[in-house]
Amino acid sequence: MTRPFRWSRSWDVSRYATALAVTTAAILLAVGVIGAWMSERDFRSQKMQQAQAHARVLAASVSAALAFDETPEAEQAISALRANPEIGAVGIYGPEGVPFILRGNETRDPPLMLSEGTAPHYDSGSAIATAPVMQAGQQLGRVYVELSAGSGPAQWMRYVGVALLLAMAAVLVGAIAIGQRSLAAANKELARRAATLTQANAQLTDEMAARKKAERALAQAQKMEAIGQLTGGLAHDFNNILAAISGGVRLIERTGDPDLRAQVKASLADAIERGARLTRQLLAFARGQNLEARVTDPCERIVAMVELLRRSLGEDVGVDTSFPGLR
Amino acid sequence: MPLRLCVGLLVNAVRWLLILGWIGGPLSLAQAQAVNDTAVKAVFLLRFGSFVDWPPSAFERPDSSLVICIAGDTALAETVRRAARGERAGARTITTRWIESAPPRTGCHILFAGGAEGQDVAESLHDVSGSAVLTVTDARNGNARGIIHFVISDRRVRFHINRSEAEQNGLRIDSRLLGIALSVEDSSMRGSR
Repeated sequence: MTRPFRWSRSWDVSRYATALAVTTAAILLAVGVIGAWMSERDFRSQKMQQAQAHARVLAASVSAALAFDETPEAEQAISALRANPEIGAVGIYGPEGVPFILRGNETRDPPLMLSEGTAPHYDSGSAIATAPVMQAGQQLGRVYVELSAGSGPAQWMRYVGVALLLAMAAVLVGAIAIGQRSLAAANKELARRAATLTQANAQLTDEMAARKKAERALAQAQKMEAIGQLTGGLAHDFNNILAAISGGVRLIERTGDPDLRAQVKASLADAIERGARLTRQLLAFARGQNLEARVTDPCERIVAMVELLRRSLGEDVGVDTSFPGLR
Repeated sequence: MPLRLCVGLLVNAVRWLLILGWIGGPLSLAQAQAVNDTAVKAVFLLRFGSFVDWPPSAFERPDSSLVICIAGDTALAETVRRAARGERAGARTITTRWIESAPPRTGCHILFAGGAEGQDVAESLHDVSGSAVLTVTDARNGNARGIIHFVISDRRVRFHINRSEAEQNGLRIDSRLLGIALSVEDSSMRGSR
């Protein structure tokens, strides 16, 4: 039974495969998250640069409007800027952050006062930048520009790549887990079947041994039966011979008639001869005696054998002889 | 009627209080606009310096002061003088000068020709024509026009610009200043906004 060992070894290999798959999935996930973080960071810095560029352009174009309080001119500059749908709230501030023109949108309004040190930053999906309004090296004020980083679907679209990567990792892990589970189930089933088969085989071997034993016992019994029949027949034959001898001997004792005695003696000799013949036949049958080469009459021998056969085969088997062309 | 007069006086008093308060503090155009046109014009005069390039020969040294001369209009001269404290035009400090009689041919970079004593606006302009002086006139003082001409439009102080004359005087005006002018008179094309 070396099979269980093999099963357990393959089970270990599959367990390593699972660990490897999980590690790979974890690495993929980590790479995805880092990639997303980096792309988000790049995206934000890019948006902040764009917002700053817009703020500088606006600041450069509104200096005269701010210096001479020309609201329509500043409004025009803001409208031109807001032709870009990404531009959200825009504000132009005079000296010390006092508002000159503030234009908000539905999500955000520019601050009412703009502090001097407002650095470009990223706030809830928008890049915010400010730029000083300069004229001849003099600061006249500041502008505030909010650049939307794209709302809703546009924002989510940026994460689709990462989501796909995660989904792929999840599918991979799931597939491996399912594969491992079904493989383990198949292995278990296979082991169960192998055990059943082994058991059946052992049973079969046992049954075969029992059958062989029974057959041997049957053959022995048949042999004994044959021997019994043979010995029974022989005993009967010998009894007949012995009875003839015993009767002859008793007759010789009683009678004084020499003729009858001679007749009985001849009969006795015949009976003894038959006994000797029977013994010889038995010896020949048992191959205990070397066969004697001599001229013989096969018909006479067959007839002599018929008696033996009849006695050994029993009464329910008839023995007929015929010698066509010989008698 | 007496009530309206009283209210008018009160408004005026508040305006002047505001002007004085503003002059003491930092320059705020919105405040100035709310007070009166003179204050606005004063602020404008101070700010033109940042939007106009004079030829280097107009200054003794690269960091010489920008001189704003005001001929005639005393109220304006006083307002400008007070407002000019701490004001700069680029790297230059601003000096104001009130001129009673005919303006000198040199020394002024911006001349507000308000009609000085014994000399009307046109004469003042003629005196400085051809030299690197940004002449400023006011529709209130007659029809004679300098390079920049103040008018009241939609109850606000606005101005026209004569670009060709500026170029003749060797001055270069920032396009953003031209952009907010009511009209720009040009030698090549006569345009009006």
